[in-house]
Amino acid sequence: MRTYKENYNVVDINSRKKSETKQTTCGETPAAGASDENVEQTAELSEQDILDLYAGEMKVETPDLWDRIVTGIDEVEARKTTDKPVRTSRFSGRRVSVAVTTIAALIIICVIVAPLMGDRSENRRRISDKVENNIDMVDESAGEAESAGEHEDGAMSDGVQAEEQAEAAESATRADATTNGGIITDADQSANGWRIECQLVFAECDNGNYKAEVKKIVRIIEASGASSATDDTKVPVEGDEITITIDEAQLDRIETVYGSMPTEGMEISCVIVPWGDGGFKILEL
Amino acid sequence: MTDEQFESCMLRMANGDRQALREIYDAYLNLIFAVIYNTIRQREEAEDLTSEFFIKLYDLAASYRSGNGHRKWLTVIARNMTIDRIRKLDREIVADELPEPGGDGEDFSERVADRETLKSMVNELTPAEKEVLDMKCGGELTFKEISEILEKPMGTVTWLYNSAIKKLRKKYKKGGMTDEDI
Repeated sequence: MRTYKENYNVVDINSRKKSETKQTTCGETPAAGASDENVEQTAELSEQDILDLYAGEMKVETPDLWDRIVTGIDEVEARKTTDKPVRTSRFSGRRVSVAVTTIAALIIICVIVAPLMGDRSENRRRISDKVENNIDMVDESAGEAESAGEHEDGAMSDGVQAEEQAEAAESATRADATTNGGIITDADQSANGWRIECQLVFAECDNGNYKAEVKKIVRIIEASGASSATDDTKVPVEGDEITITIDEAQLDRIETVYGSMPTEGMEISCVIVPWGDGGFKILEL
Repeated sequence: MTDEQFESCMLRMANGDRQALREIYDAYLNLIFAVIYNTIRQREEAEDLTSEFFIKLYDLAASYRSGNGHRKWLTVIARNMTIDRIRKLDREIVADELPEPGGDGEDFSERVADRETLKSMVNELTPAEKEVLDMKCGGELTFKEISEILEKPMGTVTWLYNSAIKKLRKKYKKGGMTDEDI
């Protein structure tokens, strides 16, 4: 039979208490000279003694996990160094970025774009008229094509008719592109501004339903007639990207959105109108 | 470890001092492991969670806000981590379903065959008694703190504690240890 001490060779205090206990457990007479106090202590351990015994038991049963912890920390730190920095500030969220973009756009509009508004208004009307004409032409292009032969004797000359048909075909192409989620557009900002032709690259398009703050990328495919109202405004160049943030845009209404150029201090605004089936069109930049 | 010492260790940890973590580890490993094990009742999971706990503690050191009662704070975190793990594993472990003492469930004492008496002692305790005793013994938590952590009335906690002490004392009582125990 194992001795009690062998059973409790891990914790000293256990050994002491159990050794004493064994004497009584086995019915042995306490050694001569043993005081009654010792016997009493053995019989009735204090609460602290029991807690000490139990603590010893806990310590023995608890595994040593230090190496695993150190390894885990190494992995976490290695991951941190390889990962891209993550935004931690609550002020760096999308709301702030939208607000900053909006404020910056408003400032630009006031300082740079406002003097041009006269021309822009005129231009807007011109472009809107053009868009409306294009829509009508898209709708009527098929009918016109079919009835072209029937109007040979009409008042409209062949040259004008062919020009209109070509324009209608172009409009149809644009409309198709819009419907499919991409659009090529152009905008003559003004005589004092830039002519920027852009191609929309849809980052996200869910059946034409704009999600909140869906970002669209507008890539400048042509920029000419450069001229700016202020010297610190850089001329857009071909290949530049404009990020347009559309906040809760709706298909059933005209949205004014703001975009930021990659060049610092350069903001744009544009008007987006419903166009085609699930698409939209930038009217001006 | 006092609140001040703990706070000092956390500050050092925030600066990358692993020795500070070691000091906390030495002081509270028993408590944390016991709290986690008493909740999840699986040794391997408990070991994993205990490791994760200290890694998380090290990682969060920079965001630590000093305050009183760091033992309770540590215990609550460990317990919540364990509860989250149980939920994640889609287990339905509640106190009433825990293995009975001495039952067929995995019990850490069974791993140590030559320590029959201690096993017998621990098996005398109910899971609730053991949980309270672990917190009291391993973390030196007050009854008030334990009652808050376990969300049990303080009267219940003290009753469980006294019951546990009584059972353990009985085992040591003169003539109370049998040959079977030995």
